[in-house]
Order: sequence, then C-alpha cells, then structure tokens
Amino acid sequence: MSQQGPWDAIVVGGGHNGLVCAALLAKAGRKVLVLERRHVVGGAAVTEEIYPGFKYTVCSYVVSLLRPWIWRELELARFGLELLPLECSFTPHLEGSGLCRWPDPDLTRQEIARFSATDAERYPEFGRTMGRLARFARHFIDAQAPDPASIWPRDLAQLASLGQAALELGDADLEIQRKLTLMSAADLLDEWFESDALKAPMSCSGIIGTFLGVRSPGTAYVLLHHYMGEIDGASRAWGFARGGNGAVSEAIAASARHHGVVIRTEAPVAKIKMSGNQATGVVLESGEEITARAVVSGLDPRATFLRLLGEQHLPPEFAKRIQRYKFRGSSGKVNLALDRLPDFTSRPGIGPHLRGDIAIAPSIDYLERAYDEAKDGRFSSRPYLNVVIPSLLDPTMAPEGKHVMSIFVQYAPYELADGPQSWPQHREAFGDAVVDTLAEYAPGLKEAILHRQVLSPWDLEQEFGLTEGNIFHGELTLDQILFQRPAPAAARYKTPVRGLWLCGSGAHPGGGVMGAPGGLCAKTMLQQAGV
Amino acid sequence: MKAIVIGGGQHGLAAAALLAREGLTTTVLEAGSKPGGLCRGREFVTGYRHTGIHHDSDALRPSAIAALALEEHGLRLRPAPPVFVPSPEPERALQLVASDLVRRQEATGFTAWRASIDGWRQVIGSVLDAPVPPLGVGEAAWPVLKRAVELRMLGAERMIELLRVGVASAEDWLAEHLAEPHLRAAIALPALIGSYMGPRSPHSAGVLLLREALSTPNEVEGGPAALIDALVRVAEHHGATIRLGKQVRTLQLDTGRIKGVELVDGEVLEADVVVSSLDPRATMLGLVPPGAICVPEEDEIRRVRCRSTSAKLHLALSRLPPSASRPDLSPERWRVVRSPRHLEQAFDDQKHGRLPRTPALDVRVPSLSVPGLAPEGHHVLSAHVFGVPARDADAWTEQERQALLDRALAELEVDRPGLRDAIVGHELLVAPDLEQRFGTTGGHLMHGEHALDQLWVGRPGPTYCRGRTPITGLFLASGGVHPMGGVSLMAGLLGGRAAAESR
Ligand SMILES: Cc1cc2nc3c(=O)[nH]c(=O)nc-3n(C[C@H](O)[C@H](O)[C@H](O)COP(=O)(O)OP(=O)(O)OC[C@H]3O[C@@H](n4cnc5c(N)ncnc54)[C@H](O)[C@@H]3O)c2cc1C
Repeated sequence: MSQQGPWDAIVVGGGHNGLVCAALLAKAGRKVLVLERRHVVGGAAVTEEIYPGFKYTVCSYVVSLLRPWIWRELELARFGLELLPLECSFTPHLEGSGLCRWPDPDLTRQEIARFSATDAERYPEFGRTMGRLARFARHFIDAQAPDPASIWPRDLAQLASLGQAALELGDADLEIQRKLTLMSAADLLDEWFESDALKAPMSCSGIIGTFLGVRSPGTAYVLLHHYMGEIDGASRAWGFARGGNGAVSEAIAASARHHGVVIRTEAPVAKIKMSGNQATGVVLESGEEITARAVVSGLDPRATFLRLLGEQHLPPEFAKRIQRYKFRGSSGKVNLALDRLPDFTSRPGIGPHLRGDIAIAPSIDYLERAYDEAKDGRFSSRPYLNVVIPSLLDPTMAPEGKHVMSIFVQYAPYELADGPQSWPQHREAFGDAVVDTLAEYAPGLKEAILHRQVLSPWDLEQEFGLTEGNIFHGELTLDQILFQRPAPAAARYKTPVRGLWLCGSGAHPGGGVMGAPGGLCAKTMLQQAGV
Repeated sequence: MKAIVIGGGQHGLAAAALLAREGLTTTVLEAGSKPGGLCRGREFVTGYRHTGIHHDSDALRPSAIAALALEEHGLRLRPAPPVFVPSPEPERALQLVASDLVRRQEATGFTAWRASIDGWRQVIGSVLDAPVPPLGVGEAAWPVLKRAVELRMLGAERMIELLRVGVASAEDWLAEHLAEPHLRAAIALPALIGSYMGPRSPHSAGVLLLREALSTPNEVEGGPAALIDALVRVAEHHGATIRLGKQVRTLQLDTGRIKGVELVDGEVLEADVVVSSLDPRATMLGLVPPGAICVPEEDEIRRVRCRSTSAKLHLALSRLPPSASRPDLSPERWRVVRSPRHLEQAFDDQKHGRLPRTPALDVRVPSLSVPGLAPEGHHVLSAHVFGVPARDADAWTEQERQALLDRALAELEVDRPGLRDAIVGHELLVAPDLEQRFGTTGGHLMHGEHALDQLWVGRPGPTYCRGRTPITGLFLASGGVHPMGGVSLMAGLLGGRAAAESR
C-alpha cells in the first residue's frame, strides 16, 4: 500500500490505543497514518533498553484488561504476543513471614489463616462474588458508555439492557454492587475481613493511578479490576507480556502494519488543522502539513483539546469541562538493573514468592499515611510499592544471572510544594525513598543495584506526554468515568469538533493496557461513517 | 391498640404525635430527666443553658411542620441569621450574604453556586421526602421510574451535572465557583461534621449538596429546644403520654413479633407496636434480644459506620468579646476555619488518632437571640469542633481534654481576643461522653455517618430503610434511617407513618 495520502484517518499518538484504533480502521479498508512523537511506539506500554543488556518495561508492567475481542480481531498471538501468568501476590512484612496469595486456593487459605481463620474462610467467597460482579462490569467496558441523557431508542435500549443485567444480579449481588460503587476500598474490605495484613494489599488496587487514599469514598469499585482480567479467555488476575509491555504495543503495531497502517515515529504533531468547525489534518512540529478526512487523537483530553486544538475552536461549556477534567498525577516508577535477586527477610532465599507481584502495603494505616503525606505536595517518605521482577518470568529481559525490577510507586504528586518543575531537584531523593523503603524489607538490595531509572510524574509528562503525569489520561474517579469521560459531549469518541475523534485512555472506559478506548473508537467511527 | 416510642428526642416525639393522632394509645419512654435528646436545651453550667447539642434548626422540613401542625402548638419561625466567617485579615472576614460577597468579589460565583443548588432542590426534596421504594421489578419499578423521569426532566445538562457533583469532592466543586479558599472551607464545614470526610474526599460535595438543598431560609425561634417544646405539646395534645427517666433494657418478643419492652428498673410494658428512635445499631444490636434476627439482617446493621469526627463545646461567658475583624457585627453564627488545607489536615489528624493541629468550629451564640439562657449581659457559646479523633473513653484523660479545649479556644481567640478570660465555665463533650449521655452509637450525632452508600436504600440498609424491621411490630424512627440525620423531623415521620400503616 502507498506510503502517501490521501489519508482516511490520521491517528495522533502511537500509544497502544492509537495503534489498536488504526489497525481496526485499516482492517476495515481505510488508509491510516499513525504519527508518534517518540522514537518508539507504545506510549506508556513500552520496553526500552536504557542500560545495556537490561530491558525495562518502562511504565506499565502488567497486563490484565487487554480485551479478548481486540486480541482476536488483531490476531495478536500471531504477531508475537505471549502472556505469562504472574503466579502470586506477596506482601512482605518487617516482622513475620508476610502474606503470600497463591493460585492454589488451599495454599492461600493456609497463608491467610495465619492472620485470621475467618478471613481464610471468607476469602474464596469474596473472590466468587467479585467474579460475578466483574462479569456485570464487562457490560460497561466492552461497549460505548451509556448515555442517561439521550432519548434515542438505541440509547434507551442500552440503558434498559443494563438495568436488566443489574436486576439479573439478584438482590444480594446488587447490594454489593451498590456498595462497591460508593464505598472506600478500606470500608468495603472491613465488611468482609478483619485482618489488616490481608486487607491492606487487597485495598491497593483501589488507589492505583489516582490521587486518593484507600479510605477515600469511591475507591472500592476499582477492586473489581483485579477480578476482571482475562488472559487467553480464562479469568485470571495479572499477566506479564513476554518481552515486557512494549511487546503488547509491538504486536499491535505489527498487526496494524499488516493491515496497511503507516506508522511514522519521531513525528510530533504540533497542531490539529481546522477549517471552520472541521478538523482537516495536522501540522507537525517540523512544519509539515498532512491532511486527512478524520483526525483521531490518542493523546489525553487536555493535550488534544487545549494544546493541539485550542480553546477558540471549542464550545465554551465544553472547554470549561475539559479545563476542569482532573489529572493530578500521583504515581512514579523506578526501574532497577540488579546484580542479583532481592532477599526478603520475610521469606529468605529465591522462591516462587518472587515470581508474582510484591506489594509493600503492610497495613491500611500505612497506605493512608502515604496518601496524607502527599496531600501537601511531598512524595510519601514510605510509599506504597508494587514490585515485579520481569527477568524471573522472561530471562531475556536481563543478561544471564542478572535481573530487572519494576517498581510502581505511590504517592508522588505531580504538584510538588515548590511546583512540578522542581521535580528534577527532588527526583533522586524520591528514588532513594523508594529504594530505602524496599531495602527495609529486602536488606542488601542497595548493594545489588547496577543502574536505576527514576520516573517522577513530571518525567512521565515530559517523556511520554502524559499530562500532569497521570498514568490513565485523567483520574478514574466516579465523576470522570462512563458518560462523564472526559465530558458528556465527547464521551463516545466523537467530539464537538467535526472530524476529530478521541481514542486514548481519556475516553471511555479509561486507562490501563486494555485497548478498549481505541477499539471502541474505531468501531464507532466505522458505524457512523466517520471515516 | 398500644404503641410505645423509645426515646423522646425530635424523631421519637414526632413519631409519637403521629401515632397518637391515629388513635393509638401512645407512650414515650425517655431515659433522660427531660425530653429532647440531642435537641434538648440544658443547663451546662449553673445559670447557663444551651439550646441543644444540635444547635441549628434551619433544616426543619416545612412539610413536617405542616404534617404535625406545629405552628398551632407554639412553634415560631424566624429568618435564619447569616453565617459570619471571620478572618485574621479583616478585609477577608465576611458574612455569607449578598452584600458582603459583592465586596469580596465572590458574589457571582456564590450566586451561580446557589442557583445550581436551587435547580436541584426539588428533585432532591422529592427523593428525601418519599420512602425508599423497594428495589426490583413489578410494582416497585414505578416509583423508581418516576424519580428517573423527574431527574430527566431537569434537562440533560443539569441532570448530568448533578450526577457529576454528587460524587465530586466539596473542595473541587466549590473551587469551580469560588476563588477564596477560606470561604470554601467555611461552606464545606457543616457537611464534614457528621460524615467521615475531609473537603478533598470524593462524595463530600454530594453530602454538602444534600445539606444545602435541605436548608431553608428559616429556623425555629428558640432553637432546637423550642422545637422539642412544640413537639411535646403536639404529642400530648393528641393524647400521648411521655414518661421520663424510663430507660428500656430490652425488647420483649413473642415468636418474631413484638410484645412489649422491659425497663432497666424492671417494669414491663406491653405494646402492639414499638417505634425506636435510638440509632439503628443501638436498637437492633442493643435492645433486640440476641438471636431474634438472622445473621445477614444483623450484619447489615453491624456494618453501619458511626465514626465521629467532632466534639461539642459549650462555653459560659461573662461577656462576648467583639469580633476583631468586624467589630460592627454581632453575628449569631460563625464558622471558624482557615482553609480547605487546614480542614483536610484536621480530618487527617483525627484519622491517625491525633488531636487536630487546627480544629475548625461551627459556632452559634444562642444567647444573642434567645432570652434567659444566661444572666443579663452574659452569653452562651455552642460549637461543633471538627477534627476530633474517635477514641475510647479512657484515652480522654483530663490532659487530653484540656489540650483539645486549648486548641479550640486558640482558634476562637483569633477573631475574639479576650474570649478565654470571659469564660465562666465550660462543657466539652467528646464522642464517648455523647455516647454515654445520649446512647447514640459511637457518640455519632447523625445516628450514622453521612456517606453516599449510607443514604437512601443504604440508610441503614435495604432491610431497614423504610423504617421497618424484620421483627413484626418494631419500627425505626431515627436519623440513622432514610433520609438523614440532623434536625429535620423527617426520619421521625417516616418511622411513625410506617408504624401507623402497619395496623
Ligand atoms: C508508570 C506507569 C505504570 C503503569 N502500569 C500499568 C500496568 O501495570 N498495567 C496497566 O494495565 N496499565 C498500566 N499503566 C497505564 C497504561 O499504561 C496506560 O493507561 C496506557 O498505556 C495508555 O495508553 P494510551 O494508548 O491510551 O495512551 P499513551 O500510551 O499515553 O499514548 C499516547 C501516545 O501519544 C504520543 N504523543 C504524545 N504527544 C504527541 C504529539 N504531540 N504528537 C504525536 N504523538 C504524541 C506519546 O508519545 C504516546 O506514545 C501504567 C502507566 C504508567 C505511566
């Protein structure tokens, strides 16, 4: 296929969502060009060799929500994607042997029983309940956001069928769903369990990527995420992509190219071109202009509407909504190249407990303190950490005998007391806090570090274009999901600007390596003959 | 037919008045020496009275006043006085009234904010006024659908906006309208007292919105204590008997049906209907004999969260020092706050079990408008102190109480220098004191936290939110049941009606 226009669609940003959208459009016969600012595609799903021989899965590090239908339609397995299951969840403690939750329910029961016998009994029931509710939640993530304000028969039918699905849950599950929607993760878990050692690591999924604490109302619903993962059709929590999360993007890109998508890297877009109220193409930073029938943005809403487009092209009410849309990045990332594996005092030696994710979340109070500390613009001195050692699952990630470690960190507020631009002065101190925290549980860690990459929210913004360093293109709070994401007038990929579509994580159903916004955007465009 | 109402507070008396009017032989059993509960006026220092632990009464529902014909029984309304927000910087001190706001250039934002609430007032009111419909299909679908249609009739934009604001944080919502942080903190404060939230907690805007939508331009002349007087008159007018000093020890049941109550003093009273105005936990876990309800029904109650984050302070003052920032005003209501950040810190402090560095105070000086509360020229100051940890009674040593008092006074003295020297006596009631004195679980003033999941069908839970219980003949009339706590009378009417209808 020709490398030249005219293009049916230009996708701005080669993040995984942009790539999914481009691939599906091309598969339907459209001519699509992807423009990516960086030298690699993938955005927040990339693998890079920052230190010779060691491959970092730089930002995102686990896969759970990648939609099976996208996987199928883009034949990702054929294009090289392979997921390795993460085997367990380990929570080390300063004293005692910590808690490890295994795929084997009996082993998990024994582990939990060391803290509470009743919790051990209830744990499987909780999992089953969440599993049922996760199936209900899929009604929301695999379709356009419902629109409660619409009176179109199709939309009313969608609302009715969601209502029907809710009623089918039955009174008991509906009640739990109600609580999940409105409660804090900590309060909800309090209703089920008594042991802090269990509740703390479970509550963490409620706060990932948001500047809220485990006791903040509205964080409980994210607990479902942990039970929504589907890998190869099987319901499973988390997986690791062989080759890191860059491999996800690479597979999607390969599929896209196969369908004829042209991908240009190091092609930063400076502006979306307008003619009247119609987006007609883009202008690159180099000054090059490219026209297309449709422009699809894989960037976040603020970058798309306020930076590339400009307020003057937007209806004032809509512009106000976009300005109010909250980012408030609060997460950072530390990647380590290690000479040897860490040795946790809780469970000495090298064992299967290292092959899953490792959470530094000893208690609910610890997590809440980490949040409270960050409210006034400081990074947590003792943060929540989620650690994965990819090289244990995929030895090609590091030279033989050596390892890479991926550490996801909260809280690191974008808005530091001295302003976000002061992050470069605080970056290494932040990295030290992370390593010091982990070293309390795994002494000797510091001596094993060969190289360290520290990414603050400021760095995520500078390097990956994530506004305010928000990992999900905007907070996933109740006021910013479904028909409110990013604003009612743009919640279904179509925007108030003709010919401009939104396909990134700032659109429904939101962030995470799942491809759903990109996939649903493409479907919508094709349905509405938007391209 | 005999009815017993447990507790002679606002809700118990309202329920009793309804039942007596319906022709039931109604007896109110009140543990205290006077009726009123949290609305009871009390002499806390010899010669000085307050007008209730709850000190505001502007949420009193006009429909409730009408339903009980309270104005025929001596209830008088007056315009609620404006709220004054002092500040160390005199030019930033202001009253939440139009003229002052114009001076501060906050009028446009404030007006827009009020207007958006006014646009939602009716829908919110109709949800709060109606009993919670049973969820599910069939006949139940109708009221739910009706609410949905009402919501939809707001127009797409206002409906979506309501759904957004309802789950936002108070600080985010207010910041969209008001530039002055200190003003935002003052407006948010009342929503935080009674919930387990700081201004940055999601959903705090929803709670604030409910409270604002419930507030009226009027309040009861004489405060909550005068409301109790009127309620006692209505209840007695309809033939109800109010027995004081009668504490119920347990409910007596006969195969899942109520038979009567047994008092602490051993007396046994028979009844066909019992309405409890104690909080749901105190009733269902404290008065219902063990094993009378099944485990899931008991769990539903056990899960009601009642964590108090405030204390109550009463000061007897020999004089009221003038406001340093606005000596020209003599406001009855103040909110002593610094900024949303300080409010959030106070919330965090209590969360981690510490005394608040800077407590925030919702203040009222009832003696400015109610005669006879204090000797001539003297005054009574009543304040909710926000940011107080929920600790056990024995953790509240004299020293800790004094430390809390000192911090509260320090905040008050910023605008009222000399206040400390005017103190004749004081009463500081922390949660365990309130629990002990009034029997409310956790000393919680709202009979259960205000939180979105603890409202509507969640107040206190699907089994109980209509004022009914699994025990035939036992009903709940408490702020812990739909719609919410505070001085509105609504929960009392709801429980009373459910009981009356059961005949
Ligand atoms: C540190 C971190 C850890 C995470 N961990 C996980 C995890 O473990 N599991 C999970 O599921 N999710 C995780 N996430 C979230 C997930 O990675 C993101 O939500 C998702 O990858 C976003 O994909 P996207 O395609 O929507 O946007 P992006 O990946 O942000 O893609 C946008 C693309 O646009 C490009 N771009 C920006 N500006 C321009 C311009 N002007 N012109 C052209 N191109 C431009 C960017 O370079 C980027 O490639 C994590 C995110 C981060 C940052």
